[in-house]
Amino acid sequence: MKQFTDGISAILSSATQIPAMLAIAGFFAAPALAHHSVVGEFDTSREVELRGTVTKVEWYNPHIWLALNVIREDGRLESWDCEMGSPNQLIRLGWKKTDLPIGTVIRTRGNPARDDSKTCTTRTVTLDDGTPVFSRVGRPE
Amino acid sequence: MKNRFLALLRIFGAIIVSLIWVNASQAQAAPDIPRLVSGKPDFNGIWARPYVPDMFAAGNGRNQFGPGELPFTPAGRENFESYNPSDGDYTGACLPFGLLRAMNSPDPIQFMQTATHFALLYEQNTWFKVINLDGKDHSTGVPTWFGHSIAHWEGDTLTIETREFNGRTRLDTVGHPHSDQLVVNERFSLRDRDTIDYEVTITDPVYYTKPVSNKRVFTRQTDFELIEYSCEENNKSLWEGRIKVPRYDD
Repeated sequence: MKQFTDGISAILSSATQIPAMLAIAGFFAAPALAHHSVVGEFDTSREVELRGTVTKVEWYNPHIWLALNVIREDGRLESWDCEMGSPNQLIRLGWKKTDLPIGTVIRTRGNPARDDSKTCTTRTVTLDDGTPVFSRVGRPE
Repeated sequence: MKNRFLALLRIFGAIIVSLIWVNASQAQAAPDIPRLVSGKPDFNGIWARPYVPDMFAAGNGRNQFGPGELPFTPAGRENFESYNPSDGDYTGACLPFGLLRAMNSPDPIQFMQTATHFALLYEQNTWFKVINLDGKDHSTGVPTWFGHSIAHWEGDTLTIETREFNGRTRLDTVGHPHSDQLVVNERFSLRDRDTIDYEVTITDPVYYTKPVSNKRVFTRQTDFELIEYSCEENNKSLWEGRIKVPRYDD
């Protein structure tokens, strides 16, 4: 499993539970096409891997935001907010907000915010079984 | 009398042959492209274009071709090396992208064209730019985010020169700078009914030692319309302080 550094390592310790399948999930989804410089807000030299339950999907421009209850190893929950690309891009690929119902368990890889708030920009998002969701390669038929 | 008739016949024949040759040449130079009633190429439509986050990279070799070099002046290099979007990101703050950042955006664009005007409708942030095609200077003298454009036709190529930028924008996502001396030359040519060859050249003697060009291919899209795009609607990153509004000295 990838080695992580700095203050988010506690959260990332739960990454050991993430199957290897997730490590190759980058194949399925290109990075979000941001409307601005990602590196100003997020630290692309660090990675975050999260497994959690979706509590809210904000399907608005300029970015979709997913609110997550992240399940830590010790059983505690942490609230995270993670951004995706524009909904316009996903709409044209056939995705709808309802394709990710509240309560769904997802896994995501991305980059954490520079201010160490529990915020990230996503690189990949999958269902718990590794199926890509809101992927930029399109919605499965 | 007979000789005069034959001479007229030869002249008439030469005219016919010339017309056929001219038409054949035009057909070879510009195959099957849509045209307005005026005869000018018709760019109306929705177009997909490549995302260009770095105008100086070599490009993908498919639908984007960049210079592969970065001819900074010392001032240009100093500006770029000191740029930190964490200190202020005007696009993240939903300020106008400016002409270059808008043209470099990955979102689709719609062109609406009449005999007198050419309008660029950017899905990105639902912005637009309208250019008079009379070739005259309509500047108000006030520098703007998208600059002031003067357009003219070079044969079937629509050529647009834009100046009078306010100097508050950057050329691309990675943050290459430009000064208020920037001049942008754009050339739009229909390769065929569904393909535009687009070339943009930037000239900025303050930050670059020579003009730099970038070529792209735009592809017609017929299976969707533009979608509203509000940059302000859910810009949580700005509201929560992770993106900062840049401070301008003036």
